[in-house]
Amino acid sequence: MTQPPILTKIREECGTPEDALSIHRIFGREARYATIPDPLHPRLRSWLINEGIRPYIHQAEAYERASAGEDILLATQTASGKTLAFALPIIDRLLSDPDGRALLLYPTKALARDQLAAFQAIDRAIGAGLSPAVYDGDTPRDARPGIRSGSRIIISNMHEIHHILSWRRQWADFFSGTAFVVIDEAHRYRGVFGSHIALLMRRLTRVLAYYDASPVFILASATLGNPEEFAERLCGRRVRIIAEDGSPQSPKNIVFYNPYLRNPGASLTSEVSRLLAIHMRYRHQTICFSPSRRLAEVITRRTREELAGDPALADRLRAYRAGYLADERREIEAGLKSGVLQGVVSTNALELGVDIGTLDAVLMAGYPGATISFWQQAGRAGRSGDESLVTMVARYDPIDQYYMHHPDRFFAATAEHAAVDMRNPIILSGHLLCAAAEIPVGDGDITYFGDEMMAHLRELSDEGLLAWTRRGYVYAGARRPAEAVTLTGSASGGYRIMEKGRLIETMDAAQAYREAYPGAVLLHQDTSYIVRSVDRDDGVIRVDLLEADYFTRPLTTTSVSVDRILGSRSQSGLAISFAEVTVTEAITGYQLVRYDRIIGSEILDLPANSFPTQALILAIDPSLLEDHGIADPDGTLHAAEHALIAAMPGLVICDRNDIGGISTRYHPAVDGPAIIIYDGYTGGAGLAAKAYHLTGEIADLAATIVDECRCYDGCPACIFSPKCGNENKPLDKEGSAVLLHSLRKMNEGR
Amino acid sequence: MAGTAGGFRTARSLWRERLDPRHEYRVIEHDNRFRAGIGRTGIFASEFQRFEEEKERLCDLHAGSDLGEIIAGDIIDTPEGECFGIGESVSCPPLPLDPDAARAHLLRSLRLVPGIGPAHERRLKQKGCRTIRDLLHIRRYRPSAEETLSLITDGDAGAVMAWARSRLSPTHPEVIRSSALFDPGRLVFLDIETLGVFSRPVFLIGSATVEGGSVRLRQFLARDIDEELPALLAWQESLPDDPLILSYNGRCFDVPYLADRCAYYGEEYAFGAHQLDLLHITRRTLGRDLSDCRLATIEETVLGLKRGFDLPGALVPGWYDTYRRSKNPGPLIPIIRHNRQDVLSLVDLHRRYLEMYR
Repeated sequence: MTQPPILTKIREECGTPEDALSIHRIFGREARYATIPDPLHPRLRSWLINEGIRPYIHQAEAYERASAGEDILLATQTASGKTLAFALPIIDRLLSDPDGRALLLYPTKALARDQLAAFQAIDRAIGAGLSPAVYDGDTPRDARPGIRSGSRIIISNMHEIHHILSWRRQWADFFSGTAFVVIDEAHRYRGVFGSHIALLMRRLTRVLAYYDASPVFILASATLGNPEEFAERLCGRRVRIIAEDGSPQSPKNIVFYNPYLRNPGASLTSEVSRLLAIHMRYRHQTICFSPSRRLAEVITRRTREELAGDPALADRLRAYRAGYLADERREIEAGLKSGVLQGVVSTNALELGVDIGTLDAVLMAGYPGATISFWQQAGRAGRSGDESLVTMVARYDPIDQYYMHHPDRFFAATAEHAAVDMRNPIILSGHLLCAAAEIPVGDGDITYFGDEMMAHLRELSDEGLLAWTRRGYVYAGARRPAEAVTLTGSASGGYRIMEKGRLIETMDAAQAYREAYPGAVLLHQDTSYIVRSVDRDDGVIRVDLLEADYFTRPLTTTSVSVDRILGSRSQSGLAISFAEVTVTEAITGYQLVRYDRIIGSEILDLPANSFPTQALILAIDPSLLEDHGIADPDGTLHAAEHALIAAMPGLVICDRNDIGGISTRYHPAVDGPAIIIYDGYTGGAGLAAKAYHLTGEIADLAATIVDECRCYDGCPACIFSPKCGNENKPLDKEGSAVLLHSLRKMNEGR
Repeated sequence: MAGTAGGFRTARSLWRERLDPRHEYRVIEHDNRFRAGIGRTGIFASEFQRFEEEKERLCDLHAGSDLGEIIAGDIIDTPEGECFGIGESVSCPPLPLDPDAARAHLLRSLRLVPGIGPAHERRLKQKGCRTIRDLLHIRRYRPSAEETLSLITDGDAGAVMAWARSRLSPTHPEVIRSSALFDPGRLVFLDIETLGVFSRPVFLIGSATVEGGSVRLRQFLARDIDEELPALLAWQESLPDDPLILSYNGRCFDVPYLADRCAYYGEEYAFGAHQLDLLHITRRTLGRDLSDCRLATIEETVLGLKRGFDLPGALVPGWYDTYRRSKNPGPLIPIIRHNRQDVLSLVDLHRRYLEMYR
């Protein structure tokens, strides 16, 4: 087989030593079509025929199952025609049921607008008169009543629904006809955000049930390790998984490039910029994914410099990220579609299904954190028939390096699990308050909110926020609960970051404590800010612009007290528990860091911050630390803790910043040595809960990372943690390998 | 077990803190008006302090007493439980409701006939067409003039008002005149007190009708949240058939609020078809001459009435909350008084407009 010239060039540029580059070829797949389903409405049928559209097998299956009233989850790849898979059952039903309505929920406004165009086109073409419309924060006030009463397909987002539900009187007609609820990009609703969305979906179903509507749920997500469990958690129903993808796939060459094998001091930015310039010179239309907004801008600038000899070509490269104005983004999207642009450097903002057409190549600056993100990004490449190219440049950190050394394991790996937690007491009670402002909450609602609902209702009622009436619990507070409960991330919310009276962003209290201490450098949209003061009473953090290239790293001491054990198991000198805990963090000072070098440090005197959360507790038999000739027990525990945290994102979708940990020779809760790994969010995010069931697998991955790292006594690719509060001291790599090997035996003990 | 777990404790106190009524307004330190800013309602620190002291005084004064002891009222029984009713008759000059005069006025407004705009009306008047009756002689207007004529002479007052609103404007003097066509017993003056501006309980519904020389005032109080539904039902029960609801901003606030609360409990509601919002009319007729259109301002400048101690609306939810938690009726007294005065002022204001457009 002949190799595409660009691949030869990349091999030439990056292919020494041999193992710096690995190329994996994925063969293409022909489309698999189904016949147009018989019961399909004649108008839809003739539209399909006129347009020359043959449904793929998964589209036909989605139609058949959803039409039969089954809830479904479409787990097919990017650009596999999910819109049509939604549209067929929905429009078919709405054509025959004049009262029927559909509610479509997308994660971003851009995506909603995109989908609106698609639905409007079908609606016009078949003259269905369903008036699809977007209803979100940008919808003008005077257009709203018309949309509520006239549109039978409403496209919206989760935040809007969160607020709409208490206006249900105005929505009564729409709600009573709701036959479908579509949740696209469902995998985005995981972790803390997922907990909120799962409870929001319970509230939505409850309100719909009040109007005697029991809609069919149609979910679409990337491939997950636990799709059934995830979907059931998210929308409260058992769903049918449709994973048989009928869309065609072009052959792909997937290149893993590890620059650190060529030069341990390699720079990710210059490697990626160099590669992107090569892609552009070879006239490959390329999207480069960057892990951060700042890096996206830097890569763009550096690549333009690489292309200095060809200014016309350099002009055809843009950066794209959240924070850009809608017009600018649309212009870039259109430029990509028309081919005017040859390259774009984007954050994961373009990972979503915004229509930019398909490109020739994808270049990733670092592993995007989860296999589902990898495949979503990779799915952006692949013009029909042509061979496409996906290149991932590794960073110097444990998971990236692990996959570079084991590309085969990457391709064989099953997708990560997405965690959705329904027990976070703060999130649950917050949504109960919202629900009580929508319809009085009574005993029967336990089917929506779970066994702990009654206990929460009583607590909130004792607090005077709910009142018991003959109709159930009624919201009795003086503020709108939907305003106090924000869906994104923070359960406790509360801190506003202000620069000269301008709101820059908001932060969870725990996050604010960790990141926004006086003197800390905060990064927001390429701009550095320095924290001047923290006003805990008003929840305001005042910052100033900062022209500096250093950042800050807090020095912390953390303690964990165990409140309630929720589950445990043990085996040969190890006991693993899952518990509700209270984490107390104290920041003792911070370091100033420039280019990974510490240039100074400051001492801080701050009150400690406590928050309740959930944790995984590993209790280790002291003899285990003695028997194996471990030189440094503290270093062993500490290194193992870091490795476990580094490995967790390999199995549970999360960022290592979402989790925290401590290790100690003696913890009173276990009366011995312990490693505790906790969710870094008030109330928990379900990550430790997932890890409890996957401890063996996580330990296995952590052990492999440590075993195979070629460093002598620890490095950023194995046991160093970028957010260690103790300057990565002490660490004992050999000892941690011994401990992790004992832990990996904890498989399958649920 | 669950009740003592850290998570529950934290959760409830966290929400308690975040949902505290004082987040709905801002106390402006040192009374510095430059710090008032925009957005949330502000209240100067010294004033706030004065109100806090007044609240304490009321609490001290009424500690241990029962609501019934200090406010005369009756318990009202409804199928959904009890609420507290306060009734009173206040003598007042009768409303100058003269349906014949109003009808004569309306008939002189040619624009009520479809197809006639302001310019057209002027021309027709120059030609000598003085009333809608005169239009019957012009062939092109006859059918629509006949229809309008029969609406004004024989139609329901509500239909006439709706017609005037849509043909002229919602605040046109003819709309006020058409309120004189209603049977006086159908006029209901309304003002409510709530825990917020939306999706929170209403706890006091003040409602009045005019019977000859007296205003019959009724207030329906929820002594706790579980009496909200009974109060809603009792108020609805007290309404005449097909009422005209007169309010101050009620078209945007009070009436939809009550409808939302009924819908919240899954109860039917049958009010709000006919409304006269005196705020809208005030803005149009007097707004230019006033610093603001708050009812208190109107009372002072137009009705010549000076309120004594008056609780700002922003503090109402917090005071009710204090009452609910402590069961001390003290903080309720100024709220009930404030509501009573609002309703009585509405009657006066309506009278003023009727006289103005007699």
